[in-house]
Amino acid sequence: MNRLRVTLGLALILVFAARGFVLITWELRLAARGIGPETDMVTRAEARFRLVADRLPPRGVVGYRASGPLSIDRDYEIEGDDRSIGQFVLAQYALAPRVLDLNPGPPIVVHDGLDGIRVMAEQAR
Amino acid sequence: MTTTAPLALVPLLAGYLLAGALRAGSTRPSRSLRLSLAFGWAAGMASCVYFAWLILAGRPGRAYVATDAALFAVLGIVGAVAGRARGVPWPAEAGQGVWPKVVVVVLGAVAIAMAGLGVAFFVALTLNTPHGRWDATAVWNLRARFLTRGGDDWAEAFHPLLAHSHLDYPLLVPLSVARLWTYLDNESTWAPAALALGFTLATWGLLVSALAALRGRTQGLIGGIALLATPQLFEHGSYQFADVPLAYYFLATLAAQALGDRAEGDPLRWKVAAGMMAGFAAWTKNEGLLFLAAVIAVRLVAVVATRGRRAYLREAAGFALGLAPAFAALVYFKLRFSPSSELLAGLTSGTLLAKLADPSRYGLVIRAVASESIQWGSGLLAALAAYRLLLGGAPRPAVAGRGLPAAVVLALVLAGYFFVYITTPHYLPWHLQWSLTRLALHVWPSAVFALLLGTATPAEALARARAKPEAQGHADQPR
Repeated sequence: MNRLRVTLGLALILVFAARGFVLITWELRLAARGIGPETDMVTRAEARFRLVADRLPPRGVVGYRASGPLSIDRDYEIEGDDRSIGQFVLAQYALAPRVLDLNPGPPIVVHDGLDGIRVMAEQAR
Repeated sequence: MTTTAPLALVPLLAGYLLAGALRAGSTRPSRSLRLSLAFGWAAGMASCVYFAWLILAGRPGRAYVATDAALFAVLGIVGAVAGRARGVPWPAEAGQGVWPKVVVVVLGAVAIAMAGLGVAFFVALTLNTPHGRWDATAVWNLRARFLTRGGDDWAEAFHPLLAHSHLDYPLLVPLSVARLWTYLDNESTWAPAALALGFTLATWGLLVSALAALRGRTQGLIGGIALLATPQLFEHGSYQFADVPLAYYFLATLAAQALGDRAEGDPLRWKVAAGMMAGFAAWTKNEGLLFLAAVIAVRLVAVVATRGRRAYLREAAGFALGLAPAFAALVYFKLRFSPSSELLAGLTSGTLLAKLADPSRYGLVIRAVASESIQWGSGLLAALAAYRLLLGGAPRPAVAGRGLPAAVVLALVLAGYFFVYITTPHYLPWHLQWSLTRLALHVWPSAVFALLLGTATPAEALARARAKPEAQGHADQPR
């Protein structure tokens, strides 16, 4: 009786292992289809911001405007539409150690619009 | 890559040598157990040293690399001396003799094939998203960039305008990434990926090797297979978040405690190791503080009740000694740089009581947890529960009970997570949607460990079957 129970127990584990194996193989196949730096939005954002980085101070606070309105709520979460939030997070990652400010005030502002990225001085705006 | 880059691995070597000193009488831990423990220790200690350098000396340059490598080389020599006495590998408690060797070979082949497939999956996901997923670019690797690129202004990483990047999150992972970039002298995306893969493999290796040391090789392999029967570990590992490192430190703490409970020679060293791993858990994510509190509470009750207050104080001293480096770093970080947790921001006693008294929030969380439990590996939890029922508990109470403290710690952590959801300031369905799977992953390796620690090995279950008729035969004989 116990031999049967042990065999059943091990079979159960191996069945789930086989299932996991198939699942991971399937997901690996899906993942392998998209391999390439051109598919990664962070890599693309890095390349876009590299074009304007030398027009910004090497560090300090810089203004930032995405294509849609953004703000930080009292729970420290970014509020806005998904696209603009994504733009902001990628911009902050690419432009670090500069600190991006969504509020008015910084003399230099990065405009990350649908028509591209522009660096504008406060006066020009 | 600079010529100093290979020196980044000196802490790993030092950890491996130090782990050799974690002996039990004349026995020593296996190479895989030493390597699995060494990885987490190396990442944790090196992050503390990097943080101390930033605070005391500013921008880490060549002097940092030389000092860091020398410091860990000295620790490695200490470890080599402390662990130099030859010893036999830690013998498994569970009898192997009655169990066909071919089954162990099959289980070993399955476990290794699954780990190999997991690594391929990890690499494919990493090639797709070399900078990691959302939280990696929004929090963990962003912080590492500030620490590396900021130079002497590295503290800009905690600028209040970056509050959206969760400034209260502890620093083990960002510091580890920044350290690797410092050694490499460039921001290679392979550095955080290698760190993430290291933690993923170390979690798997630690589960297999710790279970093998405590309950036999078969049990270790079954644990390794069960852990990878769902793609979650390698998938989330590739995201470059701090959740897999946290899961590793949870497991490392509980494994070190269980190994220390079994060690007969000098278990105090294991208590120091447990303290270090628990400290590194708290230094990885805020959830680690909850885990640390749970570990301390459970050990207090378990040790005082079974071995008395004096034994507990001795153990607690060792634990506190191990805890000290990471805890000191964490306290300094919390006092100097971290704002209050977002989960506490804006929380008043009125809103807290209102949320605690709202039954709909409980219903929402319970439904989400139940759904997650059922979906986890498509019924894998039920399969493991059935496995436990089929094989029964470990035959000797002293062994069977070893999984209990770990299980209680995990239950307390899950209870803590539950009430964090109840009181969260975020929109609850959103918070559950984006975090529940990651929280489940924190306890998953430790849950497999605790379950299999208290479950009979196949050999034990078969031996029990043989012993029963013999016992009956003896009982039938006239006395």
